[in-house]
Amino acid sequence: MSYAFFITGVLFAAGLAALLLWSFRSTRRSKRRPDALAVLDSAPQHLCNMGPIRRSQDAADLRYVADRGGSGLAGRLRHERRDVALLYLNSLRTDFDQLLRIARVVALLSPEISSTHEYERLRLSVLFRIRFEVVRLRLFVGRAAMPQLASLGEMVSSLAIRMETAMQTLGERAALAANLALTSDQ
Amino acid sequence: MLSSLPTLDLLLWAVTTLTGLFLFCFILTRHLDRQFPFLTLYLGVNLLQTAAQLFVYQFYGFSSNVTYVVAWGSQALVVVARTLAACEFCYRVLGHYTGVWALASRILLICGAVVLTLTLLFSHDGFRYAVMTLEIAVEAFIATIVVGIVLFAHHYEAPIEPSSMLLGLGLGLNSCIKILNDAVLSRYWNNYSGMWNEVAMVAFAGVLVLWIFAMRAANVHVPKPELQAADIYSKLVPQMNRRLAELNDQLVHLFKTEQPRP
Repeated sequence: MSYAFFITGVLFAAGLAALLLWSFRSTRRSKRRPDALAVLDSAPQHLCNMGPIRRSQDAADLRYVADRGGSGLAGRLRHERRDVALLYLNSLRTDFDQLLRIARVVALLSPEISSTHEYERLRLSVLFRIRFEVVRLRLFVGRAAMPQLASLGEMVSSLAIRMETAMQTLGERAALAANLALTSDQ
Repeated sequence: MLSSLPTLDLLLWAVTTLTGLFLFCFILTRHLDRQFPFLTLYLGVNLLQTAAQLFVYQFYGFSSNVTYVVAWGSQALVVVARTLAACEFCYRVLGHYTGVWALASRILLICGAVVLTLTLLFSHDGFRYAVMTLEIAVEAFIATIVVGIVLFAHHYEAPIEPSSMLLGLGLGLNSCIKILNDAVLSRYWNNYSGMWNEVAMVAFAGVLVLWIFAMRAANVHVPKPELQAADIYSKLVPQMNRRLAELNDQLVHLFKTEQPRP
């Protein structure tokens, strides 16, 4: 057996064993999460704060404070606005993750799913996470625009509303089935 | 002939055989063989292999051609039975979710076949280690489908019963340890051949203990999830993907734009 093949085999086996242990461990942890119905109830809980957040990020306010209170006060305000925006961004991600979770439960309980749609959602959610981190980093160093952040919130909100409307239109069967599936092991 | 084996080997052999026999009887007495037919078959084949090995070692010795053929021939049967048990585990985890199962089974069979083919193609070990290479390839296939199905279940948050969890853990770890053990033996034959058997038996005894706990946790009646109408998926998911694409575009736009400074 060549050395390269030996190393590949060892890494492959060790990697698979580690993945197996990790996924079983996190599957056990996920049992402690609230059930699907609770998630549906609490999905868009941070999105209602979008209006006040948007108003708090108004550039005119910052200019006004800089004119009247000086650069020290304006700097402190900018710092506090950034913290608020970061908190809001994190809560948007939480809401978005919950919506994705509902979509996964819908896929799990569907008798037919499309590999193209599933792959596309996986690819987009990975891209979303990567870009989200980049935006957060930019926001942290104070180089991201607040109106765009509000617009991002609107998009997540619109997604939540569409999900909710579709669920209501199609009846509560999906939610009940999701709940049944997630609690079937109890 | 058997008496020429080291005491530790004989002791470990006795422990694994008795543990396997206990598990086999435990499954039969609790009527779990209907729920786990291929696991029961695997344990039965494994016990038969032990009986056959005892016979040939005693009457033909360790280095005869008959012993070689019986030992590795029966090992092929055991590996095939274990593959069936692994497929049974996969079906128990996702089989009731027909949509996800259709997708996962196709992807994992392709991945497993690719891993198996690559292992056979790149091993270059010649005839001496051919059987061992084949075993490594089949174990890699088993480990791939077991880990893959658990990852699918994790991604879709499909609940896994404790019995299936322990069964999968045993199957996956058993295959991974076998790959490592066989790879080390093939590479370092002279130094490792004395330990190879002991490592394999200790690992297998551990896996059997896991499976005893799995069978203890097994429910006789397993509730099946109720699937929803197919149009829920076909209406919701394309919408969601479109919005995700828009969100991604929005994020790109967001980090291209700078915040106005006072």
